[in-house]
Amino acid sequence: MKKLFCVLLIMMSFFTGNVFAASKVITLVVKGMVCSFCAQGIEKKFSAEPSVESINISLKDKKVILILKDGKDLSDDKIKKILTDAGYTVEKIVRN
Amino acid sequence: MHYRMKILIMIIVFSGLSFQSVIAHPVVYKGAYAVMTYNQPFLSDNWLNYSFRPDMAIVARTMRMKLSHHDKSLNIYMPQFDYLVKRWYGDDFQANVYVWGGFGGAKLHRRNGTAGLVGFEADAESQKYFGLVRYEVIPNSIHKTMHQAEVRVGIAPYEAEYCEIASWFMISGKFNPGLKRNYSITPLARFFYKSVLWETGVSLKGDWMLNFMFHF
Repeated sequence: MKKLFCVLLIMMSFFTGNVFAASKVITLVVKGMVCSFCAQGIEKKFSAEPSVESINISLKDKKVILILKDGKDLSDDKIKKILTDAGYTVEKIVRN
Repeated sequence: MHYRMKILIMIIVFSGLSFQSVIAHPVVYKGAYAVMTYNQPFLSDNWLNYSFRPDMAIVARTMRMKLSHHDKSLNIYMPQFDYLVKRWYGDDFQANVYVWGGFGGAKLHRRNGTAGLVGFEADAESQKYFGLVRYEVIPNSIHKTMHQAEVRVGIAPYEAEYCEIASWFMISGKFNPGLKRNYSITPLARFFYKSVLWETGVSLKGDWMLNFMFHF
C-alpha cells in the first residue's frame, strides 16, 4: 500500500511539474500592421529573442502571438522595445 | 476603411504632384539592410539601404538618367540620409512621411562634377488601398537641375494574410523634365512575399518598368 502510494505521488509530481512548465503565450495587439512586407521586421526581431519559441502574425486580426520557451518570459518593456525597433507600437499585451 | 485613410489617399491623388516611385520604404526597421532597384529604359535608380534606427537610414545610391537632349546619360552617385518624419498607426491603415538628402558626385560623358539631392515621400495604405506622392530635386554642377515627381495609387484584388503572396494593381504617374521620357503613366502589378517585393509594368507609351526590393 505504501509502495503504491509512493508511486502515485511520484506520478503526480511529474504531472504537476509538466503543467507548471507549460509554454507561455503572449498576444500583442498591434496597430498599423497592414502590409506583410513591412511587418517582416516584427517576425525577425522576435525570432532573435532567446526566450521566443515561435511567432504567429495575423494582419486581419492585427495580432502577434508569441509562444515562449518553457520556463522563459518576456517583459512588457522588452516587448515594447522590440516592436518600436520593428517600426510599430503595441496597443495591448495579453498574457495567457 | 477608416475615413481618415480615405481622405489622406484622396489628398495624395489630387495633390497635383506626379512622381516616380519604386521605393517601398526609405526606412525599413532597425538593423535591416535593403536593396532596391528601379528600372525603366530612361532611368535606373539603385539604393543600398541600412536602417540604423527605426526612423533613420543611410543609403548608397546611384542613378542613371537618359537625357532628352543628349546622347549620353547623367550618372549620379552619393551617400544619402533618410528620415521617417512621422508615422500614423490606425486600426486598419498606416501612413508615413519621409524626407531624405545627400551629396555626392555626378558624371556626364567625360565631365565630372558634384550633385546634391533632396526629396520627400508621403504614403498611406490599408490592406486594400494604397496612395503615394514623391518628389526629388537634384542640383548638380555639370547639367541643369533635375526634378523627379510621382503620384501612385493602388488597389489590392484580395487582402493577403501575413504568409501569403500579396498582389496589387497600381498606376504610376511620373514627371521627369529633362529625361528622354519627361512624363509617363504606367499601369503596373506589384507582388510581395516575405521580404521580397517586385513590380512590373508597361507605360502607355510602351516603356517597360521592372522594380525589385528585398530586405534582410
